[in-house]
Amino acid sequence: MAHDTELDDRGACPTVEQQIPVDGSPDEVWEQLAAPDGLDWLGDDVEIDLVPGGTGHVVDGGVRREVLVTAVGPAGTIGWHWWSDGRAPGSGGAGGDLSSVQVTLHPIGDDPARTLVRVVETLAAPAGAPRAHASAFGTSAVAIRLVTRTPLVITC
Amino acid sequence: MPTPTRAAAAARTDAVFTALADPTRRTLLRAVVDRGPVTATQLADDAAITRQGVAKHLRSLADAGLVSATRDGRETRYVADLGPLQSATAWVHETEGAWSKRLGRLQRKLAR
Repeated sequence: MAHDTELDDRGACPTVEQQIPVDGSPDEVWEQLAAPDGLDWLGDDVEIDLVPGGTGHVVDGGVRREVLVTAVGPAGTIGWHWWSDGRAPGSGGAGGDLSSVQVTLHPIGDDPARTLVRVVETLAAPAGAPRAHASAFGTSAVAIRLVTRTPLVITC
Repeated sequence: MPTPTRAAAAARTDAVFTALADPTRRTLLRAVVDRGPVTATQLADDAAITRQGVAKHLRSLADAGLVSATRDGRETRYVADLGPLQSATAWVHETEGAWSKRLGRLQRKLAR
């Protein structure tokens, strides 16, 4: 099972890190992840346009999160921001429940048929430059593209 | 339902982690826990920083809800409230649990 969870004490952002070994070489695992429905393990209802700047949603455990893809490949990396209150991060009100996720694939030294999948999720900084920046754009599709062009940065 | 409550909880969590990111503030919070109710002057006497520095850090801790100030005559005394730490650790626990399940699903999906 997943293990190696830690609370990052180096910065201000709460961070969760987990990793798990899976069957297949990194190339094979990457192929599976990048395939249609390759991310269906993220939740009960998953729809993600897996290209940088792509959008989508994940429903998991009764919580719906909107997704903005920030990185895809090349070295087996997928990154996204997601938030669960249905509004673009920084669009006002109580502020977005925004976090950043990065999934990376790593070879396992003595076992070419296995891959270590590592996930790091970081809760975003409190109201500050990144959110204030994004807040000017609202929630339309055009806004999402604008936000994507100037990606949110987790600063703590 | 995803709710503003979730977002508010996340915002509180952010404030707590920001406050605790600084080692001086962590030391200061421990001192308030041990010695509270305590004044900023008393804390400055113990720590190797100025009273102004202590006051600034105490404001950060107060913003995160980790300390609160009470007036005692002409003095302001500080006491610690570790309740907000629970909302911070709650996010971590919830997130850990969610990823544990997701990675388990991935492992089963890819199992040969």
